[in-house]
Amino acid sequence: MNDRADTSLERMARAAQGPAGALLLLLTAVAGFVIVRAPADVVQGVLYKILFVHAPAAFAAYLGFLLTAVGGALYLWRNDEQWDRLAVASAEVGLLFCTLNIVTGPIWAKAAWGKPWVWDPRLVVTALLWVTYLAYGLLRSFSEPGPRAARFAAVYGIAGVLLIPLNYFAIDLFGGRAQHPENLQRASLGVGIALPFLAGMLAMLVAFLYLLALRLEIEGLRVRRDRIDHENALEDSA
Amino acid sequence: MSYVIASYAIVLGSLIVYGIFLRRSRRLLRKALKEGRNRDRS
Amino acid sequence: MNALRAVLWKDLLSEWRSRDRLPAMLVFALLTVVVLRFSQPSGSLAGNSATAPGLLWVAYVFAAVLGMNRAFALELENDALAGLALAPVDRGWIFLGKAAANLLLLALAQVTTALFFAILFDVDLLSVAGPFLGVALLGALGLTAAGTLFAGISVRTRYHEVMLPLLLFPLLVPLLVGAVQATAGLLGEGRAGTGALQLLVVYDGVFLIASFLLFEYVLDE
Repeated sequence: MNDRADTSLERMARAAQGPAGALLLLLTAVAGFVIVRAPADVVQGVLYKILFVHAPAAFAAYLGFLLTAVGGALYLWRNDEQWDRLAVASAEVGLLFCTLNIVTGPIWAKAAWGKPWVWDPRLVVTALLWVTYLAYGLLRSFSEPGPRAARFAAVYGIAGVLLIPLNYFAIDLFGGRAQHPENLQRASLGVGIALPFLAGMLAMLVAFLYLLALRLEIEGLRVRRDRIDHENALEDSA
Repeated sequence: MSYVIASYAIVLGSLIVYGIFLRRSRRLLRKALKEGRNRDRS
Repeated sequence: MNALRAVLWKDLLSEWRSRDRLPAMLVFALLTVVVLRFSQPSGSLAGNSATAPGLLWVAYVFAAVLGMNRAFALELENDALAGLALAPVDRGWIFLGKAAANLLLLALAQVTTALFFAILFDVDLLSVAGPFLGVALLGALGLTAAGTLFAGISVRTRYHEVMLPLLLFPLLVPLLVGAVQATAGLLGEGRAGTGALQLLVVYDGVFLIASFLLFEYVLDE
C-alpha cells in the first residue's frame, strides 16, 4: 500500500486528523454558543462580534507564516523533504486565514466607523504579510520544481519573517496617528468578551491545525504520485 | 447586524469549502496512488 | 575577502567595458523623474515638499531594480552560474562582491538623479547635500543587500526580470519608510530624524547579515 506516509511529520499529520476534526466540531459548537450568548456592546451593538473571527484569523495567519519560515529553515538545515512540505502546506493554509482577516477587517471598519481602511500598524503589517504570502507562492510557481525551488522558497520565507517586526516598527513610527479601532473599542467593550474571544481563538487555531494536517498529507501524496507518474512515463518510453 | 452575519458566513463558508476541497483532493490522490502502483505490478 | 574584491572588480570591469547597466539605470531614473514631475497637478509645485521625497525614492527603487536585474545576467547568459557556485569560497563573500558592485552603480545613479530631481522639482538638496548623500547611501545599502539576494534567486526562475521586483517590493517597506522620512526630514527641518535613521540602519544590518548567510543556499548547484 503505497499511500503510506513516507515521513514522520506526515504520519503525525495523519494521526492527528481524526482527533483534530472531532475537537474542531466540538470547539466550533461551543464557540458558536458562547459568541451568540455574548452581550451586545453599548457603542457598536452586535457588530463588535466580528472581532471573534477577525482577530483569530490574524493569529492563524502569523502562525502560518512562522511555520512556513521555520519549515524552510529546517529544510535548509536538515535537507529533509518533510520540512519543505510543511512550508508549502503552511503557506497555503496561512494565506487563506490572512485573506479572511483582511476581508473581515474592512467589513467591520466600514460598518462601524464609515471608513474601510485606516493606516493602523496591525492592519498594514497584516496586509503586507498577505502580499508576502503571495510573492512566496509566485516564487514557488515560477521556480523549476525540485530542491532548488524549495531552497529559494526557504530563503524567501526566512527573509519574510524577519520583516514582520521591521514592518511593525516602521508603520508604528510613521503610519500616522490612526489607532486600531479595536483599541478604542476595547475600552468600551464589556467584561463579557474574554470567554467568547478565547473560544473563538481556540476554535480557529484547531481549524488551522486541522487544515494544515490535511494539506500536509496531501503534499506528501502528491509528491509520491508525481514520482510514480514519472517512473511510469520512463517505463513507457523504455 | 447583517455585517456580522456576512463576516461569519464568509469565514465559516471559506473554511468549510476549503476543507471539503482538501478532503476531496486527498481522496483522489490516494486513489491515483493505488492505481499507479497496480499498473506497476501488472 | 579576496573573493569579494575579485567579484567586485570583475563586475565593475565588465560594466566599464560594456557600459550597459549604469546608462540604462540613469536614463530610466531620469525618465521616471520627468514622468513623475508631469504627474503633479498642472505646473504647480505647491505642496511639493510633502510628496517630493517619496517620488525621488520611487525613481531610486526603479533604477535599483533595473540595475540588479542585470546583476547576474552576464553569468546567466554565459552559463557561468555553476562556475560561481563551485568556486571554493564562502558564498557570502561572492554576495558582498556583487552587492558592492550594485551599490556603487546605484550610488552613481542616485547622485545624478538627485541633481536632476532638485532642478525639476525645485527642492533645495544642495544645502543638505552631505546628510542627504548619507541617507541615500543608507537606503542604497538596503536596496542592494536585499536586491542582490533576490536577484540571485530570481535569475533562476521563469520570468526572472519580473520576479525580482515581485520578491523585493513586499519586503522593502521599512527601508522606503525610513529613507523617505529621513529625506523629508532633511528637506523640511534640516535633520533626518533618529527614528528614520535607526530604521535604515537596522534594516541594512538585518539584510546584510541575512543575505550574507542565506546566499549560501541561493547559489547552490
